[in-house]
Amino acid sequence: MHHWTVIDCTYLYDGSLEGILSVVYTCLKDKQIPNMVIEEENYVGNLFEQPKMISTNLDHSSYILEQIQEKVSDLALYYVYTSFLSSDKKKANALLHYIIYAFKYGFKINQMKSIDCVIEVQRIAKNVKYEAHRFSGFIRFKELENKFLYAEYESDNDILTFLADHFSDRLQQEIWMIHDKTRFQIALYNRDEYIIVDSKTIDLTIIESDQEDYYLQLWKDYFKNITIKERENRRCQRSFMPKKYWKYLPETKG
Amino acid sequence: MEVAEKLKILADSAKYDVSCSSSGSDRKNTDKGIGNASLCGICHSFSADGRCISLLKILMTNSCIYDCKYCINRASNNIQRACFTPQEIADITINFYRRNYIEGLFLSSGIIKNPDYTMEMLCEAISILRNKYHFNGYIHAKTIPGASQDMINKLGLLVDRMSINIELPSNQSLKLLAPNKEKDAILEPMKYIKNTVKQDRKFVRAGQTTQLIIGATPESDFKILSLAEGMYGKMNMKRVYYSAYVPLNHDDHLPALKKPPLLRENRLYQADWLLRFYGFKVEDLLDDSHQNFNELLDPKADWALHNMDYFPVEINKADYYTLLRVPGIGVLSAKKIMAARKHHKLTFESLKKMRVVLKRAKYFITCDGKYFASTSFFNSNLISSALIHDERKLLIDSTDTVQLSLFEPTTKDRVECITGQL
Ligand code: SF4
Repeated sequence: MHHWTVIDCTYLYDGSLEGILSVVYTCLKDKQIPNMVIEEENYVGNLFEQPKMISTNLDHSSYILEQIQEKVSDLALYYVYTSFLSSDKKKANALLHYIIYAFKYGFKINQMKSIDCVIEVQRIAKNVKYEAHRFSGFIRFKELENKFLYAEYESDNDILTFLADHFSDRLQQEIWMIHDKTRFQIALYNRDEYIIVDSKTIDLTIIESDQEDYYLQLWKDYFKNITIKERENRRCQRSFMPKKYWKYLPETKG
Repeated sequence: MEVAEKLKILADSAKYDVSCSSSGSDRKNTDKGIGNASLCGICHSFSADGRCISLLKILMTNSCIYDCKYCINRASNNIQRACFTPQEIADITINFYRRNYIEGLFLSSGIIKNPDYTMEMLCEAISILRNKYHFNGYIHAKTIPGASQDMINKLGLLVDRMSINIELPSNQSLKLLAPNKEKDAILEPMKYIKNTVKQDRKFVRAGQTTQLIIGATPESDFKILSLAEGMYGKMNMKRVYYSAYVPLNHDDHLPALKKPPLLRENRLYQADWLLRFYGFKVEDLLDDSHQNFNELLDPKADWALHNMDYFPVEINKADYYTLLRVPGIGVLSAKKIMAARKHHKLTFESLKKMRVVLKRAKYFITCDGKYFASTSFFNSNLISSALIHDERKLLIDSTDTVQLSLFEPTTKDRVECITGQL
């Protein structure tokens, strides 16, 4: 990026995707990039630095999105959306560089494996997708009194839309709720479409159906019986299914 | 008998079938039903032996009129017997599926009355799932040896995957240990399934698989892999599974093993990958004078040490398939190397930067004419002991059971085939 000036300053954003895109807009306009972009909440200041807060501007952010779609590719847009869902603190910085390079190289950007930020953004997005894939298996629904299905989980990244998409197809004839307890969000599906709302705003009294305990017990028994004792290998089990996931997996509790 | 009791018994007797993969089918959730198949498979949990739980794996019944010596369900065993009704199978499956415990059903059975009667019952259970509950999730069913073509047809249209296990890798062993099973009762249905799959897209859309038991009978790795190669080639098998023999019955014809031969099983899986993804033929790896792998080495390293005149390979010149034959260089690394060397000459340093793992590869390559050490190290004995040393550390590292992440290839299988550093 030859005609760009890198300035010795940290930019802060409000944590939203629009916030990051507003930073991108500002940098493009000023032809200046900060040496770091970080979410305001995660910023640990020091005496010698005066960070600059870039306020979120929806016109700016949608302009950048349109430009990516028009001038780069849908794939680039996918990487932007997906890596934004990551809990990685370096994502905003990587995204800023990625988008600037993307405008320079166009649709070829995702093959430019020698550019660090391209590798970085792809890695971050891959981790998000990987966690979403794992959880599509690890989610456990309970049947409630009214036959609705309810699931809760905690995850590193914000994968709720991936999960909601997955189950909208798979369990399309059910009414279900998927509760992200890390981010206090819940996806509600009504056999037609889902919406995502703040879980603190709704009444979540969970009354299980009569059958729930019966099937849960069957599942736990099944889980116990399927192990071949002669091949027991707990270490292998944990490497595929790390303990941090066990909290919401009933079969791991006797 | 209560359903819970039945489930315990019938899951217990089904667990020795190692295949669990739920991949390869693209069944969609149509007609407002429940479920779909995921092309690359999804693991829902992992049991204490480290195997992926993807499908509800059960027998319809563990009663059997046959008396295969190695099988826990054989007629002469005095064990508790149980039998699910088709309705019970459908109900458990649907209720597990709704709660996202499982990806689908893997249904097998002992033989009651005769093969076709058993097939009829399997069809009934699956038909309730498909037609009454509109279940579009993954179903894998075992075909009963000796079943008629009509019944195979009927079942094949309901399921995603079918398997008939060969179990014993030779005719002789089959006669000795599975006296009621004719070789043709296994091979004929396989052929029939293969041909029908070609003609009808709705028939067994994820293809067929089979399983071989390792270590119950004296066949060599050479014999076993040759059989597998034939299965991939002639029968169009999607997968051949290898299952280390777990001694369950006492019989004069069965070996008295203390532990299942897990390491050998793992080496066979690795060799199987070499056949499927690395362009190897069985006769490259083994022959009459070298019938079994050195268990202490992975099969590719074993092969390389027997073929030192192929090496060292020049990283900047070798073609793709030659690169793939270097121990430690997998599909991904080979591709990276091919791409990167267009731009500049590769050195050991640049390989490291590209994250090509050199641990094993370094013994077998040169970079721009240079070997990683003095060329006097290029000696099969020295290399072999260095490799075994590394491998040992890996094996001992893992308490008393061998740490095998390759244990049950599932979704990871696909991933590792592409990225695996064999
Ligand atoms: S036919 Fe199958 S279930 Fe019956 S004894 Fe033989 S292996 Fe076991």
